[in-house]
Amino acid sequence: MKKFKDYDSIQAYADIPQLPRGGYICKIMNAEEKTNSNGTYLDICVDIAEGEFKEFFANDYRRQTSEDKKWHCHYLLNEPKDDGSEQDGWTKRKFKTFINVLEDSNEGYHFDWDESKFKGKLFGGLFNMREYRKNDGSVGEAINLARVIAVEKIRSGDFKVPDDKYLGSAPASAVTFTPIADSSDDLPF
Amino acid sequence: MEIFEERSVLRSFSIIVDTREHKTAQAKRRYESFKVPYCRGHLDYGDYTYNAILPNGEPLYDINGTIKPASVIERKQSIDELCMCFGSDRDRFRREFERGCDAGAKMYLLIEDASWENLYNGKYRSKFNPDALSASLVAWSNRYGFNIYMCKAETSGRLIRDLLYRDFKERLERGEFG
Repeated sequence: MKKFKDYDSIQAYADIPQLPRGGYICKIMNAEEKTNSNGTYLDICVDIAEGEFKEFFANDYRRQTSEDKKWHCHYLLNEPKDDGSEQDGWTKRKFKTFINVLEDSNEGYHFDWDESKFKGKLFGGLFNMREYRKNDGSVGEAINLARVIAVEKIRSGDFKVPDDKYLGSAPASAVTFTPIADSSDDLPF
Repeated sequence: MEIFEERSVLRSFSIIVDTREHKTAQAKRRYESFKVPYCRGHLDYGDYTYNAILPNGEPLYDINGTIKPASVIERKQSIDELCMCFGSDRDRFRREFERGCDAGAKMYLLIEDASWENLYNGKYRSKFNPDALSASLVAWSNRYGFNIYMCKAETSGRLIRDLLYRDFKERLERGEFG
């Protein structure tokens, strides 16, 4: 068999780095208000800020060879509808929890309802594995930003990584993170 | 430019249509098939270019003045029109490419409702000799450094958008816009 030309330099699939489950100090790279059929939400793009895996998702982005690269770590935060429903109450609690984490983790920061100021803020992120259904029907696994906590808790080791999520193992209301089709946040088209 | 600034700039991508483009029903359909915002502006050469909002909040091109774009598409609606450009309008056509060349622009020539087969076989409404036409077209594409694209009229809007978007994205990723 003839050796192909870039055999020595090409990256094998198994060599693509995976972020291990665990707790990391994270940085908000971008935050934007978006709307879908369920209402308005904040799409928060996240990277690892410190340690061995610093800039893990930026490196993952740069490594992609497709023409339209995807950012692979989003935290989606639904905005309350103020409709008085029980569901909206959960949404409000989750929203305020996130804000409290940001205020506790970033000295001097006080939320002023301007999501663009999230950029650059730190928080603690707990990552587990999550199963998902691929387009071809098979089951895949992806690292998942499952929960946010104060940075100090990561530094002191005072955290427990949530159990992995398997398809069908959790009721919808317990899922804290919903992966999105990343193609929605870029042209084309 | 950092990753999210680039992504934000890309999302602001829009198309500038030269003010000399006729406002016909077919032109309106073409613009609608861009599926991105568009506006009119005075281009020094070419018919279409792009615009975007840079991280400093300023547009890449000020549409209130004459624009000398980094990349343009010159559109011809048929081989018949191309024959006219290489015939009676040859000097004007040449000056257009010369202005683009002088400005260092990348140029694309898009010919609608055309194919190389029709061009080589003289399947158009003009007495322009097919060998002379193909010779001029290919020679000029080398001389002035433009790329030649042919497509059906109903595809041209999408192709204009894709050519401009990919050109813009490449330049953005190379750092040409800061």
